[in-house]
Amino acid sequence: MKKKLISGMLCVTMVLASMVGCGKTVKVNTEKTNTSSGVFNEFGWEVPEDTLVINILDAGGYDAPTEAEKKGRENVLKYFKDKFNVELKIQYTSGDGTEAVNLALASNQYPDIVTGITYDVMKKFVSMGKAVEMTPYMDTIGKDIKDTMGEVYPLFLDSEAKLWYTPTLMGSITELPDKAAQIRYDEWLAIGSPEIKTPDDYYNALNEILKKNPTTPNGEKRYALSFYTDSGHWSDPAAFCGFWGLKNGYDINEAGDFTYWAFTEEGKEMTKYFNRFYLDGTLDPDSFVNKYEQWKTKFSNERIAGVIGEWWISYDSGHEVWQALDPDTPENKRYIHVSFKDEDAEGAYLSGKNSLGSRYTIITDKAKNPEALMKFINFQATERGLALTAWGIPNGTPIGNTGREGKFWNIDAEGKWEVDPAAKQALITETWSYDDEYYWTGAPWLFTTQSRWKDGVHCMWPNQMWYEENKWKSLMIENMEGTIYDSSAMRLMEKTDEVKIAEQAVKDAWTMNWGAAVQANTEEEFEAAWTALQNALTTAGIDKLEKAMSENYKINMEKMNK
Amino acid sequence: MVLEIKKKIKYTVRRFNKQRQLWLLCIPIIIWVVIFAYVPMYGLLIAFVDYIPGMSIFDCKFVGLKHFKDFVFNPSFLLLLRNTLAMSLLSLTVGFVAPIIFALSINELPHKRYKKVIQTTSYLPHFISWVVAGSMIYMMLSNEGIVNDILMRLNLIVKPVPFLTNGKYYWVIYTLANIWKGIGWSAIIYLSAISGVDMELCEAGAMDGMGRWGMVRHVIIPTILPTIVILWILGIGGILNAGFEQHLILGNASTQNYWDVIDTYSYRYGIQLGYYSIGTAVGLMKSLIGFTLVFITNRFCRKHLGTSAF
Repeated sequence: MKKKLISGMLCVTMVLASMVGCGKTVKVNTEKTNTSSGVFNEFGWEVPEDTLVINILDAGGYDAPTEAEKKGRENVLKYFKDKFNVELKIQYTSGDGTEAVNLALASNQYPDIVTGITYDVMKKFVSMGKAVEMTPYMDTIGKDIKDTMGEVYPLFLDSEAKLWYTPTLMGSITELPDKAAQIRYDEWLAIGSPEIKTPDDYYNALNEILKKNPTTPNGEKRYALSFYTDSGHWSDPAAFCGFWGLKNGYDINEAGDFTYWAFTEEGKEMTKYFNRFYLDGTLDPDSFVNKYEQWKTKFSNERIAGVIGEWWISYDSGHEVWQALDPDTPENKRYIHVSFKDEDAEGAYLSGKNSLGSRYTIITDKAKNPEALMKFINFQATERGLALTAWGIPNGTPIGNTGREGKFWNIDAEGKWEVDPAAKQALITETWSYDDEYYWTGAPWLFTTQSRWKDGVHCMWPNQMWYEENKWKSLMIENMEGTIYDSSAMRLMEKTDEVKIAEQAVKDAWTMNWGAAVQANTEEEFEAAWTALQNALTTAGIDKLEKAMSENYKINMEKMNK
Repeated sequence: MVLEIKKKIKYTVRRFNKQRQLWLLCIPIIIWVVIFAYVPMYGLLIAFVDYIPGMSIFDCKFVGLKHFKDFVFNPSFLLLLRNTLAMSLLSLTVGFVAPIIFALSINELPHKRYKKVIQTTSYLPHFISWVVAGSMIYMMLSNEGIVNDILMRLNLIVKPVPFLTNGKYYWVIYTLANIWKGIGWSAIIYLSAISGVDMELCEAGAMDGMGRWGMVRHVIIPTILPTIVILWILGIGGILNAGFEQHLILGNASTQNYWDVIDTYSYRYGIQLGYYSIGTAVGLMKSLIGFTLVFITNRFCRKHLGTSAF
């Protein structure tokens, strides 16, 4: 009897234990709040009478937040609650945000606003009637958004001229390069600062530097160039082709037809160019193995004389690291940005500016008060709204337990604002602490623009203003002039399943085969690898992608009356 | 006939009654299996429709075997199959035998303490994540890694061997890395089987003049053979599972032609691109093939080795 009792109790306990956690559902706040009060705060926000609760799913796909980031998010939420009577409830995704949103969609567990999603995911919400149409608000509570979108507004509309989303981040700083070739400045000066106008000049300058300094102070071998191959970070042949006059990896003829770089002479020239470094032994042999962090370590250890990539990587991995380790690092010990082009190329097209953005925000059918949410999104399109979103909390925020306070800007009770003079000075002299910034930033991005504001000076990035007062930035802007172009019309947003699959297959094909061409040991090997690359791309369906890109480009040009 | 069925039912009921307390204990497990292993199987229907997340499977367009056909006739299919089978077969041969040999070797060690130290040390790599293991392998095998450095210093090579960038080394590196990580852990089950060896048989063998090798061959291996067979049968079921995270970590652009396997393809197209139907179709196909292979292998082992998993 005792045995029976014990086994019976065991069973019940185990059944109950196995059921714990079942049936838990995420509750979404759907209360309709009174958003009108007639009371405006210094940011120009009409503070609602009832607390406005906004549930947001942020598909940005973040790394685990640091303590500073956690604190910053906490500070921002509190600030919005106190000053705006808005309670932000944000779910952050880690890893691949798209996966997380797809799962949320599949399980019907998504909140009022989903931000940071791709065009495809946005389309899924729209096609299932799970997104709220924004068009009716665009001339009223969403008019700042429409104004900000400007001439590209029609490109956001669907075939029935309806707007379903806002770009999470749109616009561009037209004078700021995205990609550039970079070279060690002090070493370039030491070899007599030879002119760099062509790819050959860059090659010769890097080799000259290597001849002079073949090893690091620690005795490690140095290389002219090195690549990295993380997803999200890629030494991308399509971008490299810009030096040979292609745009975003395509040759576009006058009729608007696209040819992929691997089927052009320019693409082949570009590949041969890097093969030359490989054959000389001046291309890091681990170029196709390095993850970004491994590459960064090599770069910070002064093992790489040049780099072709985002303008900031030589800052992030170069002098900013050196200056942090040794404040007496000479000013010239840094990289500068250089522009060059093949002699036959019309221009060097290195930075295609897509002002449409690549991530989007929607209001979902879960929202019971979409007008209130729209109002909040529109707030981010106003100057003070964007400043709060991007520059963070004004007037000072404690930096952890350091006893210090930090801020980028100040605002008074009347809404008069200015960039904090000390912050401005620190940014110009490049002594700004990016680590401190985390404590006063962290607002969700629902609609932001990178473009300069009406005053032509300010923009959302604290470090992208007052170029003329920063010697190095001025030099970069001057050197990179003419390498930036508008690629908005090239952006292919509507894709059929066939094109989407072809796009991935094309990426797989060049990823698998381009490295073999760069690392070919003989001319025959190179030709064989090049043919293999072209065959792989053909099998992958490059023709489908080229056709879709061409058609899309022509339609967009027509929409923009260009 | 009816009588026979009645007899069988009666026997089953009697047996159930006799074991009712054990069955009662099993209820939570059965419920768990039903809820978490069987109920979700309805999701397999995704493989037969053009699934859109958020929409009910039954509202999605039925496409029959389209996704299976698309996968099999995909230009990458043969490459994926070659890589998957090559690495699986290496694991099922070299990778499978390694822990057996390791367990037999440990069993032969004379000092108990020494034996324990070796055994415990061999478990450690199992607990290292592939991310850390990947960094260690990079440090060892990259062009500027320790192995190349040693080979260069010994003047055995003139320039570094591109272990990590030349695809022809990939399968070997993958197999060795798997063995290094799993040998100690996998050997546990064999060591436990070896501990069940009848000591009288060993003593009798020794009396008959059997050496250590003879003892291993004629006493230990036959004793642990059922364990080996069962694990092998189960291993065959996973023949189309040729690793996943290992490839994303150890692999790179230059070696993708050698590491791209069915699972990594299914991840890129099924999960990353959001084509869950493709991912499900590939997964279902893998499971069916694995399931069939387990049955065939089980039958083969029963017939030829006199032992089987079921």
